[in-house]
Amino acid sequence: MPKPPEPRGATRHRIEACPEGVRAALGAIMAELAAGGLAEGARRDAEIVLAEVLTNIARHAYGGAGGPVRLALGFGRDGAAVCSVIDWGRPMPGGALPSALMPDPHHRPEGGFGWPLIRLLSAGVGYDRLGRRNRLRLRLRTA
Amino acid sequence: MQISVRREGAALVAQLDEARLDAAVAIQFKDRMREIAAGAPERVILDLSRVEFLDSSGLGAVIAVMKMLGPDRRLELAALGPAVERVVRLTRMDTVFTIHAEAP
Repeated sequence: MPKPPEPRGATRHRIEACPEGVRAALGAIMAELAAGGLAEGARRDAEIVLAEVLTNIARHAYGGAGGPVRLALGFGRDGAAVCSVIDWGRPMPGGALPSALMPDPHHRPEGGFGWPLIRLLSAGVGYDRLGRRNRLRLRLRTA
Repeated sequence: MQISVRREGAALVAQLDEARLDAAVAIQFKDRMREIAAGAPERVILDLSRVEFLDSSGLGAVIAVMKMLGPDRRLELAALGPAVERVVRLTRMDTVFTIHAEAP
């Protein structure tokens, strides 16, 4: 999958990595995506993708202890919404994106759905570790 | 975490009075459902008609409640909105839960 570009003309969000911080950020970002003309179905998917990304940062990168997140959201030349998300927490295990494989529903898993949902509902995801920062770049679906 | 409980025939219907079932409320949801599950009949129907957003933490909590009910009782889901239904279908949990279009 090609890495999405840096968002152009992006708006920037400072987010506290905790469940309430994630809720507040999603409210603001969803309003912005609606104003940017993203269709309802695409917004619904974007909200799931960003909720899972931010909750994972809170839970795994920062281990529930909280920490800062910087999110930049913009629209690419092709009209796609692109987003970069930076945190200063622990790196992804193995320095790579987690598995995209959905857990078997018949094992009644209570977790492990997040990254498979992110991969299914976004048009592209890239990860890199820059010094002490994690950076995710996401391309959201337009339809 | 507000959950209204009513009886419909032999089933207990638990209606979640929250717009979001996400990481912010997943633990409270499980705790409240644990109280409700104590003494619940064989069929428990979770009415999600007021829920506009479900994330994987919320879904994990629903699955935890299903397990909490044990082998002799079952949890069914009702009145899934578009965003909730999307997550339930993509995770294929619709193959595990009985899903009703509307709450009784």
